[in-house]
Amino acid sequence: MRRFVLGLITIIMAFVGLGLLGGMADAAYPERPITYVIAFNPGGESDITARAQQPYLEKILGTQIIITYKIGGGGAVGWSEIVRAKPDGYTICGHNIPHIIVQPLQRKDTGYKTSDLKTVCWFQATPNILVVPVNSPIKTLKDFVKYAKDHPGQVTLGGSGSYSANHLGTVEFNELAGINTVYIPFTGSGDAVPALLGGHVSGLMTYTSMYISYKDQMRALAVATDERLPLFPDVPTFKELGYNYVEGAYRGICVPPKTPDEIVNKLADAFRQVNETPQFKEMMEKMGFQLVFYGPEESKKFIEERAEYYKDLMDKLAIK
Amino acid sequence: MQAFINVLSVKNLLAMVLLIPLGMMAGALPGFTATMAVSILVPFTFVMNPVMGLICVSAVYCSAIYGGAFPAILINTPGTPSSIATCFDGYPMAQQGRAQEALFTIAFASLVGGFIGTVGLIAFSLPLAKVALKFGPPEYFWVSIFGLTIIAGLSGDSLLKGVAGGVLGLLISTIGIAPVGGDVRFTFGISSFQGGIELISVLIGFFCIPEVFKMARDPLSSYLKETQDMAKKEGYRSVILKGFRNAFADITNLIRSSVIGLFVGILPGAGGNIANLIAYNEAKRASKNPESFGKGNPQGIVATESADKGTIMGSFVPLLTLGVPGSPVAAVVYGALMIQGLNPGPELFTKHADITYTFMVSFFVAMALTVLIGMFAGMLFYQIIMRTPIRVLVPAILLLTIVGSYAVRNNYMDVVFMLGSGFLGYVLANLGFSPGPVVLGLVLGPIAEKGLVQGYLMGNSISPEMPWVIFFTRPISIILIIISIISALWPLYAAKRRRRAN
Amino acid sequence: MLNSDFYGGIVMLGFAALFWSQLEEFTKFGIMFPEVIIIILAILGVIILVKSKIKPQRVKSFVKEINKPMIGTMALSIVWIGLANYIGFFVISVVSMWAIQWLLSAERNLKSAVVSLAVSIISVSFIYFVFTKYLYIFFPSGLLF
Repeated sequence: MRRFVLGLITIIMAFVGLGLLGGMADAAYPERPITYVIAFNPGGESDITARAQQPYLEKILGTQIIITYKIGGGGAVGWSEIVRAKPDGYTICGHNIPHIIVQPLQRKDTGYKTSDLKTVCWFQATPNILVVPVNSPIKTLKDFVKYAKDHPGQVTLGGSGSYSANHLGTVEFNELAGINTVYIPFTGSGDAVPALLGGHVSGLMTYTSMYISYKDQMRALAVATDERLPLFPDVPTFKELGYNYVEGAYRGICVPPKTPDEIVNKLADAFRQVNETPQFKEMMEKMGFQLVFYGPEESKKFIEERAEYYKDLMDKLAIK
Repeated sequence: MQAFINVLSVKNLLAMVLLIPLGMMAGALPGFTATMAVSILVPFTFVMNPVMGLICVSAVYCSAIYGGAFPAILINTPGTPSSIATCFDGYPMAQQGRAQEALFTIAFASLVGGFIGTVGLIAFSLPLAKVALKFGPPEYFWVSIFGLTIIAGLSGDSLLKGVAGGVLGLLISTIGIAPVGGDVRFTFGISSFQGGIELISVLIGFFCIPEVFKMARDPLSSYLKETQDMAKKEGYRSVILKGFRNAFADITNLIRSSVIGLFVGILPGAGGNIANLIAYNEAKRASKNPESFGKGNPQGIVATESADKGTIMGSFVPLLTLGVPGSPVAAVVYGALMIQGLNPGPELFTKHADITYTFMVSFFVAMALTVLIGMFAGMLFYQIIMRTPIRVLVPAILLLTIVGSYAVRNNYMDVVFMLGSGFLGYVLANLGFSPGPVVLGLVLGPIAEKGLVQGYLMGNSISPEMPWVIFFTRPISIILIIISIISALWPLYAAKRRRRAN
Repeated sequence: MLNSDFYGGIVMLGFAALFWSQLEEFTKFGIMFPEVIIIILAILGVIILVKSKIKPQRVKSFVKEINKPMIGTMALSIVWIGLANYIGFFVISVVSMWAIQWLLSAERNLKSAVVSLAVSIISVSFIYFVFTKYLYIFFPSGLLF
C-alpha cells in the first residue's frame, strides 16, 4: 500500500512539472495551430465554408488551422464554451446572426450572453429566398401573396429552425404583406428540402445556398436582399416588388471576450484577405453565399442594430 | 461496366485496403461512430480526385459499420448505433463460447446485405427516392410508432416494463431544444444539455458499463474459460463453416433483413439506427422459436448485420438522386461533394454519371474487402479480448468508453451522462427493465416528436378545426397505421399460437 | 427477495415527477409531446405499482451480489470521471487505471504494481497521442494535465 502511494506521488509530481513547462507563454501570434470551432454539424453550411477558408487562412496566417466541432442547441453549446475558452487567440469560433442575438433573448439559460462573444468579423451572408416547387401554379410573388390572402393560415412555409433567419423572416414578410402563412420549422435546411420536394409544404423560406443546389426543382419567387444577386439575375428582390424585406443569416468569427485587440485585428485582416481572394470568392458565390465584410468595429454597430431589430420583432411575436 | 474497372484500379484498391482496417477500428471503438470516421476522412479527400475520394468514403463507411459489431458481440456494447440489436444475440453467443462463430456469421450476412444494398442503389435509386419523398411529417410519426411496437420483441419477460422503458426513453429524448418552438427543455440548468442527450452515451451506459462492473465482480476468472472456447475445441474450419451455414440457413431472413435495411436507409432522417432493430424484430416474429432470440440464436445477428449494411447504400439513394442527404454520413459526403464542385442531385446521374456509378459499384467492392479483412480482424479482436486478464480489461474498456463518449461531441457532460446511465442501466436491468426498449424510445423520440408537431402544423393549416385529421388521411400513413396495429397486436397472436401448439 | 415491480414502479414515477417538476412556460408546441409522455409514464408507473401488490415479480436481490472489487471499480470510475475535468484527463486516467488494476489483481507486489503502472501509462499515452495528433480531439486538461 505504501509503495502504491509513493508511486502515485511521484507520478503526480512528474506531471505537475510537465504541465508547468507546457504553459509557458509564447511571443508572436500565431505560433501554434489555431483551432477553428464549428458550432454546427459537419457537412452543414458553416462546415463547408470553414473548410473552403481553411487553405487560404493557413497560407495567410502561416499556421495550421484545425477544424473541430462543438455541436448542439443550435450553436448554443459551442458558444457557451467559447466564452470560457482561453483568450489567447488560438481558439476561434464561427458564430451566426440571428442566432447569437435571438437565443439569449428567447431562452432562459443559453450559457452565454450576446455581449460575451467578441466578434472578429462577419464575412458571409446567406439571404432568405422564397421558393415554391417548380411545378407549382404560383409563378410570381404577386400570385403568392394573392393566394395567401385568399387562403389565410393555409399556406405552409418550411424553413430551417425556430427563431432563425428563416423563421423570423417569414414573420416579417407576413407583416409586410399582410398575409398569414404558417411557418413549419425543420431541423436544418437539409430536412426542409425533402418536405418541399414531396409536396408536404407549399413553399420554403430558405437560404440562397439551398436554392442554388436544387435550382431545377425549385422556383424562386423573390430574394431578400438589397439588389439582385448575380448568380440568379432573374429573381427579383422583395424590395423592388414593394416589400422592404432584407433578411438572412450572417456568418462570422468570434473569440473569447478578453482576447487582446491586436490578435482580433490580425484575425480580421486574415479573413478579409480570404474574402478578397478571387478563387474563394468564386467558389462561395457559386454555392449561393454572399460575401460581406464587417470588421471588429463595424461589427459592434451591426450587432447592436440587428439586436434592436430582433428584439422588436420578438416582442411582436410574443404579443401574438 | 466501366465503373467496375475504375473501382478495381490498383491505386483505389490500395487506398481501400489501407483505410478499411482503420475504419473498422473506428467502428469498433464504442462511441466512435461511422459519421465521425467519415468526417475525419473527408478533409483528406479534398486533395484527391473525386472518384478516389468517394471510394475512400465508401470503404471507411462500410468498415466502420462492420467494426461496430465487434464490441457488440464481445462486450455487449454497440460500437456504432447500427449494431444495437447485434448485442442481443451476439453477446449471449460469446458467453457460450461461440464468439468466433458469431463473427463469421456476420461476415457472410454482411456480404449479402451489402450486395442487396448495392443492387438496390444502382438499379432502383430513382423509384426508391420518389417513394422516400412521399414520406412527410405524418408518415415519419407513424414510422416511429411502428418502431415503438417493436418494444414487444425487445422487452424480455415483462411487456409492461418494456413499454414503460420505451416511454422513459421517449421522455429522455425530449431533453434539449424543442424541434418546433425552440423551447429549451429539461436541461436542469446544465447548458450543455441544450444539445440534448447523446445516444452513444446512453448506449454505452446501458449496455457496456453494467457488463464491465459484472466482470469486476469476479476478477480472477478470465473472460472465457479456455475449455469453453468452441473455436479452439472444434477448429477454425468448422467454425467458419458454421458461420456460413448460419447466414444462409434462413435465406428469407437474410434477404428480408437486407431489404429492410435498404428501405429504412432511404428515409432521410430515419436510417441505420432503427433498421437493425426492425430487422431483428421481424426475424424474431417470423421465427419458429422466438423464445430462443436473446439467448444466442444466430438468426438474430444475421438479421441485424445484413440490415445495417443495407442501410449504408440506402442512405445514399436520396443524396445521389435528389441531392438530399439521408443520414448524417450522407450529409458529410454532401459537404465533400460541394467542395469538389459536384452538385448533389440529378446532375450526378447526367453530367457526372461515370463518377456516380463508380461510387455505387465501389460499395460492393468495399463491402467484399471489408468482409475479408473483417474476418481476420474479428479473430484478432477476439484473441486480444480473450487473452487480456480481467484486471486489465476492465480499466481498458473504461478508458475506451470514456474516450469514445467524449469524442462524439467534444462534450464532457456526455461522459458523465454515460456513467450515470451506466448505474441507472444496471439498476433497471436488475429490476426487469431491459435496455433495448429505453434505447429504442431514445432513438425514436425525436423522429416521433418532429413528425407529430410538424404534422400538426400542416394539419392545422389545412383544417384548423380538426388539425389531427391529416394523420389519418394520407395513403402512406394509412398503410403505416395498419402495419403498426398488426405489429402491436402480434404478441397476443403469438401467445395464442404458442398455447395452441402446447 | 426483491419485489422488482415495486421498485420498478417507484423509479418510473420518480422520473415522471422529476420531469414534471421541470415543466415551465413552454410554447404550445414545445409542451405537446413531453406532457403526454410524462403522463403516460406516470400512469404506467402506477400500473406497475398496482401489479407489485397483486402479482409481484420477485427477483434475487442484486444488491447482495455486489462485492468488494465491484464496489471498488464503481467508486473508482466515479472518481475517474468526476475528477477528469479538474485534475486533467491524462493524470486521472493513469491513476485510475492503475488503481483498478491493483484492486482487481490477485497478487499485489512491487512487480505487478510496476507492470500495471506501465500498462496504464502506455495505453493512456497511446490514446492521447492518436486522438490529439491525428483526430484533433482534445481532452479536458485541468490543474495538472
